[in-house]
This record gives sequence, structure tokens and C-alpha cells, in this order.
Amino acid sequence: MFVDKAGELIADVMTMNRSLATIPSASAILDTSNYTFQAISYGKDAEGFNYHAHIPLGSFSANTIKVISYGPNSFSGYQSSATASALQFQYSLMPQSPTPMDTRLESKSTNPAYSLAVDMGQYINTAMHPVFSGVYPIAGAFPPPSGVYFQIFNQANSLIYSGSLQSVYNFYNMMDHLGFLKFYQAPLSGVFGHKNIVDTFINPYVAANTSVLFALSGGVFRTTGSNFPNDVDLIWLLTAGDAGMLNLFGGIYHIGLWCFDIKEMLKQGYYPPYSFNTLNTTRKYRLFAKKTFNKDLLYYSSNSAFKSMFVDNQFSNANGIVFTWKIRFN
Amino acid sequence: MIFNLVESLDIKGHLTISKVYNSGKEEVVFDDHNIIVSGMGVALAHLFALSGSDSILDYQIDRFQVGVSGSTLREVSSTNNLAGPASSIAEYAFESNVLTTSGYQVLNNAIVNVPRFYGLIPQQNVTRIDANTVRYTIILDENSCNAISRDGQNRPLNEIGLFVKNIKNNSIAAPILVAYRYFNDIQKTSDFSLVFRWSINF
Repeated sequence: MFVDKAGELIADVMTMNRSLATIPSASAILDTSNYTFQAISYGKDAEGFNYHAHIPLGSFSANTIKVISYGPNSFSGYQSSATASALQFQYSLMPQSPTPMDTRLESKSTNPAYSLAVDMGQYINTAMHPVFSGVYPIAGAFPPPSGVYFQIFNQANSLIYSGSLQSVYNFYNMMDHLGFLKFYQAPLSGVFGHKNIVDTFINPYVAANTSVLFALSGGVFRTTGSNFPNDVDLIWLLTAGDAGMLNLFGGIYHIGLWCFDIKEMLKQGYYPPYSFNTLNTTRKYRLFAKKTFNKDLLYYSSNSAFKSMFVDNQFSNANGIVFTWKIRFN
Repeated sequence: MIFNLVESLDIKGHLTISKVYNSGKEEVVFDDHNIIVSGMGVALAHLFALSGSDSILDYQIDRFQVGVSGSTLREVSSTNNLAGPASSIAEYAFESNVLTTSGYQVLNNAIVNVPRFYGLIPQQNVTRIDANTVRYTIILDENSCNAISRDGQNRPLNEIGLFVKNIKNNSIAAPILVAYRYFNDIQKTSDFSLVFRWSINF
């Protein structure tokens, strides 16, 4: 769903003062890149930020995520049907229904009751937070660049599985600490050309692993294929390690598409160019569109599937989930 | 996931045409919706794909055409030009207050290198009505468009279109039609100005 802020952005473009072009110090405000897609984010139901791996279990460990598996064969939060039924009176599992007035993925607070995390309405990337990075094992939701251990317990507190997860997003500094995954900025050509990107993402094993990782480390790609200007495709990868940690924190129920809130940035004294950094010292975003799912996109119903999907095939061979968001213009 | 931007945002417009006489009397002669044509999607696709001009001024609606061969058959989204636009600066009139310019035009996503003529919409006539709505005010004063002739006959105005400036950053601006409307014949004379108030809700 495109939200009302999307139309507001286009109205901004249509009414931007033409005289700025004659002022060298201000002309950068008119650069098209300030008004197009700039970030993707992931979210889940607000209530879920007090469940899943957000619940502290036993003694806190600085580099280990601990989570209870409520289903006999599921690590995917509480998503097995029997468990969902048992918990329905205390935890509905359902994300907020989207409306055109939305300005973020969840309007209710997504700040776990205990933590020092930031209430962004979405998953944040605490591992890259300049001050609170130490609480990422309970604040989530992406592994630090060096990776993370995890332990999964059954309801009797017995360890049933453990392993480690790596993050491509953070290894390549692709996501800021607020959970915004950057877009690749330069025009597409060479290894980043439309065909290469599509080939790489649709069939990653066509290319050598290093090329795949190099390509995907650019961020989210906006590609213009043969159906342009009717369609523009946004393509990105959620690699196994990052997906695995999201799975431990309750999975994906929302995906957000964001542009800059350039008026807010100007009001706060930030002028373009708005370069990306993981500390996000200048960028302010406004929601352009969101997609909400009523079932966790990362749901897997068996332990072995989790292991094969998120652990064995992680990082080194760039296994993961390819997202293609097609924006149709005609 | 597939999202249709123009349909989902429900971009639409409304056009009011008034005759304003020298006495100050204003008479509304047309008041209806307009047609957002496929060029709007083409322009926005270039903007959001970063595949066109790198200045957002080139994505602004800053010009228009009026014409004399309009019809209801053109009130469809596939329309990409006016049937009979004013075809010279002289037809917009030298002595009027309407600023005019020439340029090419984008048709079917390609630049057609045939000179065409446009009236310009000054910045002060572009008004933000609310967060999502922009109003364009086009004034054809008493000296404008009074002598558009075809086959030796003076023809009434009956169509108008809004254009986005130059999405492909061509050295000679190549505007693209984004909104169109046919209206009943108005024989323009020096007795009145025509004021078009065109609101687009994005």
C-alpha cells in the first residue's frame, strides 16, 4: 500500500521553488536522488517486541541470543498453530493493518519494556548503535559484523539447538542502527547492470560467490528492465544469517519502503548530500509504501529446515531470500 | 510484490474554466474532472528509477498547451498529445501576458524532434492547496489565443493539456503530457480572459 506521504512527496516535487536552481549553495536540494527511494526496513507486530528473543532468559550474555521454541518443530517465534492457539488470549501475533495514514510500520511502541532501544515502529539494528550496541542479543534484530551465537531452548529450559549466525548487512555496513537498509546509489552499469543484477539475484550460483556478495553489498537495487517505464523493480537480498536472527526475534510481518524527509532534514539544518553511514547522523526518512503480511515470511516448521536454511548455508555462499518489489507506473 | 503507484495513489484532477470580463465579472463555463494520462506514470517512473534528469525541476508541471481539435475520444489514459495544439508563438499571441516557449515532446517514451509550442505556468501560479494537492492557474488574457485559425477559419478552443518539463534532460526541453481535458467550444475574443484553475491531487 502506498501511504498518503507518497502523494505528499510528489506534491513537494511539483512545488519546489524553481529559484533554488540559481543559488549554488542551495541547488543540491533539487537533486532528484533526494526525492526517490532510499531505504527498506523490516517490521513485525508491536506486541512482538516483548516476546520471542526479546525476553531475557537466564543470565545475560553479551554475544548470545537465547530464545524458547514453543512449538515441537518450530523456531519461528510462536507461529506453530498449536502454540498460536494456546497463546491467542495473551498475544495475538497479528501486525497492525495498513492504512494510507501510516507514517511507520507499526504505530504502537516497538520499544521492549526493559531496553534502551529506539522506538522506530520496526526492527532496529542495535548492533550498530553507537551507545547501546551491547544489548543487541535482546533488542535485536541483526547480527553484529563479527557474528553471533544463539541458543534455542524448549519450554522445559533444555538446550535443544545452538549455532552461530553471520550478518551480511552489518559486515558490509548496509544498514544503519535504526534498521534502514540503504539503496545502491549510482547508475547501474557493469557488474551492477540490470541484467547482471537480475541474473545474480535470481540465480546466485551463476556467478562466483565473491561476485554475488560484492553485488549484493551495494544495497537495494532499483532496476529498469525491458518493461521500463511501466515498471521499476526493487531487488534486494536478505541473507541467511540476517534472516535467521530475524527469525529468532519473531520473523517479518512488514516491509517498508522509505524516501527522505528532506523538509525535516532542512529544518534541522542538514543539507545535501545525505551520505549513508550506519550511525545515521543526518538522514530522516518518511514512509512511502508498506507491505503487511498476516503470516511470518520466515516461518519454517521444522528444526532441520531452520538449520539448513539459516545455519549451514550462511554467508559463505550467500544463500538467502531474494525480494523483488515491482512498482508499476502504468 | 507488485504495487501500482498511479492507481493506488488515485492521482486525479479537477478543472474549472472561467471567463473573466474586463468589468471584473467572472463566469464559470466549465467545472469537471480531468484525465490523468499515461505520461504521468512515465514521468514518475523516470523520477523514482533515477533514470532521467537529475534535477527535480525537470519533473515539475510547468507548461501547458491549448488546442482547437479536442474530442471526448481523447479522454483516455493512452492520450499523449493534443489533437490540434496552438502551433506557433503567434497563436498564443505576441502581445499577451502568456509566456511561451518551444520545445520537443516525449511520445511513447521517445523524444520526437518536431518543434512544438507551449505556454509557461509561472511559479507564482503554482499553489499548494493542501499536503497532497497542487493547483495550477493558467490565464489566457484578453489578447491571447484570439486568432487560432485552421483552413482559413478562426477556431474555438476546446482542449487543454498539462505537461511535465523535461524528464529525459534533453538539451532542448522535451515535455510530456500528464493531464488532458476536452471542453465545449469557447471562441476566445478580446472581450474576456480565460482562467483555468486546475487542481491535481497526488
